[in-house]
Amino acid sequence: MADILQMKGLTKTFGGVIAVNELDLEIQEGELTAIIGPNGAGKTTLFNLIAGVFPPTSGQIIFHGQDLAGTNDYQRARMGIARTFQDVRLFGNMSVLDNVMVGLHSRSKYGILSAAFRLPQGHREEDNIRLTAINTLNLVGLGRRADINASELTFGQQKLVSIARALATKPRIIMLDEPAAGSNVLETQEISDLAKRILEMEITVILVEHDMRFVMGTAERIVVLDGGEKIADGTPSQVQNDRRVIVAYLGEQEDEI
Amino acid sequence: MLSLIRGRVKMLAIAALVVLLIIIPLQGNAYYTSVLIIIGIHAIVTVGLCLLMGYTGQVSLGQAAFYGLGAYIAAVLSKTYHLNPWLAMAVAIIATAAFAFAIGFPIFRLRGNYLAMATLGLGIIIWILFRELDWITGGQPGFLDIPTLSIGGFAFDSDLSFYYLVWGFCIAVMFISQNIVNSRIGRAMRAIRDSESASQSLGINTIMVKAKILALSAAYAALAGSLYAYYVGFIDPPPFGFLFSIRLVAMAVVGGLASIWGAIFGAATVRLLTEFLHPFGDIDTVLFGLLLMVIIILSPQGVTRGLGDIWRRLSRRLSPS
Repeated sequence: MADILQMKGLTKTFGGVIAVNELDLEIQEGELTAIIGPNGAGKTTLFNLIAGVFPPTSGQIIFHGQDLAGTNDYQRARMGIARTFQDVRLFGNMSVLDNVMVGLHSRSKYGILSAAFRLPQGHREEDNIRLTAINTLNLVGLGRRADINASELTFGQQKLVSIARALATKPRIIMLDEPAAGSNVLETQEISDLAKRILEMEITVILVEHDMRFVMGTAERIVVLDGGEKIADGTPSQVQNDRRVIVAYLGEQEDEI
Repeated sequence: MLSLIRGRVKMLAIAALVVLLIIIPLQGNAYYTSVLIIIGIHAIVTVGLCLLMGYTGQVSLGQAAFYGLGAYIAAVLSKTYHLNPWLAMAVAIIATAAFAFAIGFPIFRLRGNYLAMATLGLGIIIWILFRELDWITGGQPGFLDIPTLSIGGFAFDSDLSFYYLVWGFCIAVMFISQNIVNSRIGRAMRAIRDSESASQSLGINTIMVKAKILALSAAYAALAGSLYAYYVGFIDPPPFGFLFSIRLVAMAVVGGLASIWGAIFGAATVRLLTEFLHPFGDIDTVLFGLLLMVIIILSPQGVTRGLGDIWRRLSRRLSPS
């Protein structure tokens, strides 16, 4: 299958600290890739670079054959790159449904005048937005919680809403930043199932996660970062037995336990 | 279901308010009517500030400048250039909104206290221009003999007719604002208030939305300013200065920042307080300054979240746990 995303010599430094170093990485369309690595390995920085939160120090990101240089985060969201945040960032003073409806903002167009005078175009679009948002919310299993305030949900449910919100933008690729963190075993299984369902919707998935059982059971391909560099890349079983990965996680001179 | 009942109650309350507004001036007291005209004019500015501060989470301490721009543009075009007052009003609204939209792009790169300082500075600069460009604006002594509005042969030259004109505009502005808040734009505004980075990640051009809402609030302010100019027939710089910007923030805060119809309540409360305190000199300014200081101290993030913060703190303290 074709590459949906290519990173070439991607580097990001903050002051003197190198967060991502000369990274070459291709993400295949329709694949579920997990990016793992110890704290400070550059995983979230990589997501932020792909999402366009800040520009790279050097190197290129190519999405569907198009160089992303010079585009910022909201433009990339419109191009089909969606993401969630480690710290969720739901709109806490809005209903669950409204949160997902915000995700459809860039997929609708009626403007301030249509809104002010309740013109028919706005009505039609609003009905579509609502329906799509309810469907998306059902997809993550939270349709019944549509009308409550987003801040009243459990942390696990908030993560699911943030995924629904990102899916509402109709992305080609979605980046999930620690989707299982803070979730119990049951919720973790649900998120794993959800990730696979997203894949069936022909949306490419990249996720960052520390929960190894989740990663091994969900991902088709695992990329291991350490110190901003790629140290391993392969199927779960390949990566599990990679000497450099074991060293990165457990340190040098590790004896059998 | 609950929201449906709440919606009904709200519609009834609005209907009651409209009926009340129609009846009130019939009591015939000219003083009350003139105070109510000013309240209506201020409520129009306040609701714009509510959209900007309460819903979008962006502070403006320079809103009086847009109010002044509306007043001066309408006055100068209708008097000096003999433009039809309605046309002058339309030009004033469009020009002020366009100016606000353009200034929105650089100014909304700033956040929080820096944004507050920038809007404050903008307000002061424009106010100084009102005072110093005296060959256009009349400067310190003021600008006299502004014509009034009329339709066909009917001139809005009595307090009673102007009262209905102002409140007609005010109610229309309230409905328009309510519709915007309930729309896709309103959702984007609240999303920006709650998390700007998450809004951007969903494809919302946050600076564009903020600039549009600033332009809308400036359009409201300019509408109110031109009404003020036509009503009084005379304008000079003082009503458009920094103190009025602060008073507008007080109106928005008292009305409940994220509340459209509350703007009328806020404008009325602050205005009436000013009227009652009139015998004691400028003590009302001290009072509103104090009110804002209290909010800023209780809410370090700034004025915007003040009311919500106080409410949350109170409810936490009052809750049985």
